[in-house]
Amino acid sequence: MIRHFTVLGIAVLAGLAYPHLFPNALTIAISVLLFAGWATSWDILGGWAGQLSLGHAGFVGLGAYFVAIGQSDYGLAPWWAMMLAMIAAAALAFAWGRITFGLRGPYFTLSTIAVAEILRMIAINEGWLTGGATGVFIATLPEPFGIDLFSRVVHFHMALAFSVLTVAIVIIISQSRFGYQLRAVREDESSAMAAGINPVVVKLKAFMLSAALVALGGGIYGIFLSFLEPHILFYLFLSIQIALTAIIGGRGTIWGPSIGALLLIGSGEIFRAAFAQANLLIYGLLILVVILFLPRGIFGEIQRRAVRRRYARSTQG
Amino acid sequence: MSELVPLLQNISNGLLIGGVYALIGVGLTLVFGVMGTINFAHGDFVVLGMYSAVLFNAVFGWDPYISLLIAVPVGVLVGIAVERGILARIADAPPESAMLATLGISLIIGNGLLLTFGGEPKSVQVSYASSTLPIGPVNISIVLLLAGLATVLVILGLYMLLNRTEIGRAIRGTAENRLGAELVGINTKRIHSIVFGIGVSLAMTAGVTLIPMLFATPSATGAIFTLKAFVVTVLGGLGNIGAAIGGGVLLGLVEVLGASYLDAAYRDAYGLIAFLLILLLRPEGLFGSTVKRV
Amino acid sequence: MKTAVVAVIVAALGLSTAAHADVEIGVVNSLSGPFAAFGERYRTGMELAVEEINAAGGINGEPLALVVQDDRSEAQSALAAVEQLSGQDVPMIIGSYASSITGPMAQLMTRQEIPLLVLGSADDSITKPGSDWVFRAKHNSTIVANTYFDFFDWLKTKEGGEEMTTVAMLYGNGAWPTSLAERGKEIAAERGYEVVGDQAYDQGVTDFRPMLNRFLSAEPDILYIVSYAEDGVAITRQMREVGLSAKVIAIDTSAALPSFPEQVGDLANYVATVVSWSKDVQYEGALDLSERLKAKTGSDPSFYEAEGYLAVRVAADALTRAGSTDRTAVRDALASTDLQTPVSTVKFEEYDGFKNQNPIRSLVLQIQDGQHVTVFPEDLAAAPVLFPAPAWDAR
Repeated sequence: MIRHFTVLGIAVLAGLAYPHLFPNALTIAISVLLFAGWATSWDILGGWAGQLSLGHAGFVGLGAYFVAIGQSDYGLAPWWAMMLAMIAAAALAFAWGRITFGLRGPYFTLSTIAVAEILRMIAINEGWLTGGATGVFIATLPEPFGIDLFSRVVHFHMALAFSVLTVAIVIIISQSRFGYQLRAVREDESSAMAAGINPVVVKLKAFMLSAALVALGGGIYGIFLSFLEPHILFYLFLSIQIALTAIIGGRGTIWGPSIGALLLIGSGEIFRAAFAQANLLIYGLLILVVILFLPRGIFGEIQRRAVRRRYARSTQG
Repeated sequence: MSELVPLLQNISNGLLIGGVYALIGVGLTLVFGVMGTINFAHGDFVVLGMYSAVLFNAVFGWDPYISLLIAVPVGVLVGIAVERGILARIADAPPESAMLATLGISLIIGNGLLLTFGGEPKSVQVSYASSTLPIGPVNISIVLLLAGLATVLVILGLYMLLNRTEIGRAIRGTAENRLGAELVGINTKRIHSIVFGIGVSLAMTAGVTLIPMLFATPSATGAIFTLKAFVVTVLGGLGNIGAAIGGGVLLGLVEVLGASYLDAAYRDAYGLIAFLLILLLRPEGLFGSTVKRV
Repeated sequence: MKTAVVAVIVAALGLSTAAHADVEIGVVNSLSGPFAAFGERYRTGMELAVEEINAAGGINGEPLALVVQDDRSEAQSALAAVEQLSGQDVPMIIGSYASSITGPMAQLMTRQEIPLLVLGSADDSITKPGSDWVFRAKHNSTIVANTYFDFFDWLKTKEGGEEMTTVAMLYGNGAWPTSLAERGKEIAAERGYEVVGDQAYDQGVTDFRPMLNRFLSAEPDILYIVSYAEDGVAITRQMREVGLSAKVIAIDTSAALPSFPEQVGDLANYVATVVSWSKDVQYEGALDLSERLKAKTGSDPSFYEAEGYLAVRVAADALTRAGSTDRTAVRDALASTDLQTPVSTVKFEEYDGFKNQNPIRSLVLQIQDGQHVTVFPEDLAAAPVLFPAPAWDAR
């Protein structure tokens, strides 16, 4: 645990230095950090609890819309809006999970797609609630302590804080009783039950935490874009990207999702600049290559090899 | 009376569109039933079928249905190649790996088509595109009728293949119990390749039958068809071919009647709500227990 | 190989230090993803303009060059592209197609004080309320919706149009179709039309029959349809199939594409659509421009190519007059634009809540015998309008 927090501390220091080193590459760094945070949060449910969701874009949209609508219609400061969004996301996850946790494997995954799609249609069609299909602008934001919330550097620090928070939470979970329960449920629900764990409660907790954190990131994303359209925020492809980031990096590991974000978003940006029209094709190829050669995800493979090496050494010694 | 005619019209449209949906869904359900893989590239293979019809029409002036002669075998070959080259290699990896691989394949197909054909929507113009066949007061769309007929033929063919041939027996055996099938000497690796080939071929067939009424675009439409296929298969029951027909028809009816008598903007939501309800109340699918598995 | 990779990474991080001998304009365009079809057309128009400007001596003797970045049809990549271009010290940026992309770009560039010339986005919200740094030479939803209703009003003066009062609207639920439909509804109410049908649909719908059947009993005089790029084909075919006729059939976006009449065949005749430019519009040099565009790609140009061409011409004009690549100077030069091009006259004005919006005249094209023909406004028309559209079974 201390080791992980040391790494996290170094990452924070590197992050704080970044805007000074690369002041012209902040947008891409914000994307990487947001995806790192989303994927890490997703992984609490998808990796640690083993429930593969392809509907998390719904929570991103929820967070972004709370901030935008809160500001434009109710004059609500973004930090309050984000808190409300987290509560709303957790409540939604509670209801969503209550209904769908009876389903297993692919059935649960398919149900998450359906729920997220229905949320998207509500966001598009209920204009009185969301500004509808034409979208909403965030035109003004308060300036707490003279901080300009429209500044890219501020967005960067918010995204950094968000991703660090999610990783810290996962580090704590990994060592806690809750983390143990999650793993037990993921490995075998019936044995977990035999050990006195209520799988539904454990999964619900994971879902609510995961949802609330993703909504927090969604709020930051909303401020970052400052123009929201439901088609963008509730997009199925965004859900897929979040899941993909975590899985490519390594499901159920502490650092995997962050590494996945660095690789996928970073390479996506490089491909975009280098290959123009073919960039998404190359991106698809990259996904295939990682899956073919690193089936446990990047960090998952690293961990496995480290364990093997240690084992080999211990048997020799 | 004046209410009855539109109702009949809507029901007949719903049934025929349901037939098209069934055709889209049946390949997905077959692949899932045998291989346990949810194929996220399924819709992109549908789009690939559409482009094959566009290509043969542009080059040789063929009717889309004639291009099936090429699209069907090509689909089988493409499917086998994809399975051998990619999916077979990760058969022992965690189950979601195959799903992710199909996501990668989906990106590759969509953007490969974009690079080849450009982003402009393409379609094939057939003389019967807007023709109708009047049956009493109800007008039946010829393109939908043809697509419906194609669905019936394809599903009959699939049924014969699965139930009357040696390979069909092997496929069913693999679906029911892979280990058992191996023990009685079935090469289940080969079966997986063949099944994925059939799945791709079915998706391409659906694409070809869709093109006279629709249009093909490279990147966005694939995901939409994939989603439709998910809904169809879950409504019917994942992994159950006969049930895909039921699921397709149910989805067609729910969408058409919802769009006709409720708010049309939520059209796709009606299918999804039905999908969720079925998932929750009968996860084995509406027709899961009444129809024999695969 | 290794150096190539390093070069790519360096370029991607915007650290490129190549010497800039040329005058460079940043471009953010959708070259991949769902809007690539439009991005391709814009690119053709922009490239033609650059060639012509350089052949005529460039910007005060310096050659003009475009620094193009792909936005993958998504906002996040567009914002990263803006940042990169800004790091390369471009004096201004042209972009992009969808308003979901241009909206965030406009917000960011206003904050960073970089002039933005809108390439393809037509949503009102980009220039209303607008900002000092955002300019749009092309039309917006209000101009387009007004043009449709001006056209309908004008048809009322024709024989057989006197009684026209009812409109049925069918539109996709994306930003552009929705905003055009919403403006349409407001204008319909102001001008005494009755909206007898109002149906929105989600992208990817393939069966429009239930919605069209609902319109059937309302017997609308006018069909006002705003589709996604590809849906118009299916809508038109199914309209014929269910037998939904109207005196005027207007289909926005889809029917303006040159491929539309090819794909729909005879059914396309009589369909009207609003565009910002067409090859037969009675502007000086329009036909000539169309031939140059056609020579470049070999296929018929649409107003999208023309809008790309227009954007670069406006940018080049401003850069020439600014005489420097200082962003404030370029912004001021843009604001005082007064330009005549074969696409449109350009003057950025403040009116009706809009800011730095060119009050461009939009045109109505009608498909006659498989060809797009300009029919309205009368002084720009190439041929008389065919009206009313006969019922399907009388064609």
